[in-house]
Amino acid sequence: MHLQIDQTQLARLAAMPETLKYEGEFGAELVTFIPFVYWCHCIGLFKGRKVSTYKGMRPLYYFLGDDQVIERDDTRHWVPFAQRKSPDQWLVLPNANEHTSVRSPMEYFPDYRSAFSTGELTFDKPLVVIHNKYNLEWNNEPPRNFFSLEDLEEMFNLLKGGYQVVYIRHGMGGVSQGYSLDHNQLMDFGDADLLTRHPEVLSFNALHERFKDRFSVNAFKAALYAKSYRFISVQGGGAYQCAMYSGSGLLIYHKDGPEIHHSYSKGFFTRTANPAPLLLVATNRAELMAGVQAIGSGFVFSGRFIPGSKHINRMKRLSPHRFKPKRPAKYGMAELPVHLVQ
Amino acid sequence: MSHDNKTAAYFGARDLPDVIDYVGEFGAELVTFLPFVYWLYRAGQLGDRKVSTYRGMRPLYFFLSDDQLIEKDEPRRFVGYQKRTDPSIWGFIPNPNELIATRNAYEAFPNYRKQFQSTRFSFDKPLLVVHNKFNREWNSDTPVNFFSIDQLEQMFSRLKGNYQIVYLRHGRSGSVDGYSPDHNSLIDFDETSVMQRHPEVIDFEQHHREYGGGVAINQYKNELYAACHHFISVQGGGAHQCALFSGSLLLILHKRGPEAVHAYSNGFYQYATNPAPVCMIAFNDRQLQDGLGAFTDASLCQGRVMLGANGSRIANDLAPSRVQRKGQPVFGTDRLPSLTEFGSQL
Repeated sequence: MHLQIDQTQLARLAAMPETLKYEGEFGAELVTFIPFVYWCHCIGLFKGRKVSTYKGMRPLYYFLGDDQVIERDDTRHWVPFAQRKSPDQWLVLPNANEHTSVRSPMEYFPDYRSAFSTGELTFDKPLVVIHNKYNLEWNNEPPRNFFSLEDLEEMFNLLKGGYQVVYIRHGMGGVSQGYSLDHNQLMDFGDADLLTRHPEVLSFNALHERFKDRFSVNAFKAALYAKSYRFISVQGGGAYQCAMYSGSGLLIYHKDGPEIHHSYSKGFFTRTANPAPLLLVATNRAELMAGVQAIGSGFVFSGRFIPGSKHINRMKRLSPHRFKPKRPAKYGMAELPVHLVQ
Repeated sequence: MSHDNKTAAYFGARDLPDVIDYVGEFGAELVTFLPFVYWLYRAGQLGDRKVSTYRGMRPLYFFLSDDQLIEKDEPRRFVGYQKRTDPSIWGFIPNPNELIATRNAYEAFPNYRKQFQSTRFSFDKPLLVVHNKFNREWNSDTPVNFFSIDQLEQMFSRLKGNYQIVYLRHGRSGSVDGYSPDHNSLIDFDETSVMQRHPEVIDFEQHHREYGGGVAINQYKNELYAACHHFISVQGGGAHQCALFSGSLLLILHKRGPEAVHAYSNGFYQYATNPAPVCMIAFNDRQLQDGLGAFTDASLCQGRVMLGANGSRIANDLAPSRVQRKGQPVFGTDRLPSLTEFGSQL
């Protein structure tokens, strides 16, 4: 399935403003806005133009000149899909809704693994990145998609012997300086105490402290991710970012969210990098731990994660292709693009 | 042509001719011309223009209507890289030289695996396609890149227990009905004895004649490839085609040719489909034999081949990235791409 561009879209492209502004959450920016900007850049359409984005995003627009990136010190806010209608902002994007997005000739994902490869970060063991969040979700509902302390304890015990685990939860050390947070309210969580019981596990924040003279938070995160071929993440924008690193094994703990209908199996997760990540989706604790064992197996060769042969069936059981929508579409899923071509 | 000129050409589409005519070999068409035409189509830039190609190519341009495609009934010919400057043909193709091609924002590769899904090739074992050729190459009187009878014998003996092997050498039955072959003269090559010793191996052309039901040979071939994740090919356009099918394991016997410098490791073999195939390059018979071992240790998961520990060790030993450029580049590869050229990013 892919988008075919029509004359309306081309007219919007021709009328694109000098400064293209992004408003919205971090994850959506990565998979809707950046690939369009990068495509424009690659074909020369961004010459003389700027992006206006949020504080801290400069590294992810590495391909633009300093004078082409405006960083606003605003709090991000979610923009409902029904409101993504402004012709000079959302509608110029070939895929304004990340949950229904399909391959477009006007998108081009940057190769972040290549762009952020550096010899400055070295570890004795292969890396596993664990990305957590703990905040109010969707209309201020209590946290849904997060690794509990028990989940983390078990994951650390399973992985820390063979891997250098780096644990990341933005906001763990209080409100982060240097980048604009998503609007979701952070909540207290006891993971800092847990880390003291697992000194082999590195906290992302503590690790960044050592390198903060040379890397901003997002530059450091991008460079760290470029080193890793194994990612374990909760559902959300953090998982989107993991998916942009080619050849990875990516385990997502998904309790709720719209990605399960399309994005994981047919959407941007299949094209954010090449090779696209080998994706495992766990919806309960048993699946999560099975997935952790699969991610913690195997090896990396020729730039791609290869799970241990004993875990192939486990990988198949956790495949995102196993999900079939069982209920009416929500989160904007009803707004399928009008120019879908089989 | 500069960036801006190309951009203007594509988005005004005024500089493109009414008939976009391809001249050249099959492999180069697949990886230079076709992804550009597909991008034009998807970006709404093709308009009423027609595409002129060679006989038999209709299935590969599935996205065009019948009245948009002209099939020329003439032999293909190689166009030297230095001659790919004609602005009416090569000048507007973002990557006119496949050997130095890099990922480009003006290209979109069709998803042939999805497009050619069918139930025609359903067997008890996973499919393995063996693609051979035997013809004159590069002004030489003798073939260079081909599987010998002995190599076929070893391949079939080792792998027919695990796979349903389909053997393909265009022109094997003497005729090339239905498509325009490349210019290289075919030379007699008799696989009859080895095929007779291995009746489990399917001969592609014979299978097409018996079961094809009149389906065009390129349609049939693409349906076969879309059902297959395991390919063994000699160097050349046949291998290029294998690389268009996502998630595959692809072993290439490469005795001579320019692809080893760039195309296998950093070129279109790594971006024409997603996930790109796991490529193994064998430069001699011993490496070919080693490469066969990876096929005995492979399984399929989420539409991509997964190698076992032994298979991965072999694939690592035969990885295209092990090739370091030595000596003077040949076959037009002296003009290696820069990071910014054509808007490409390595």
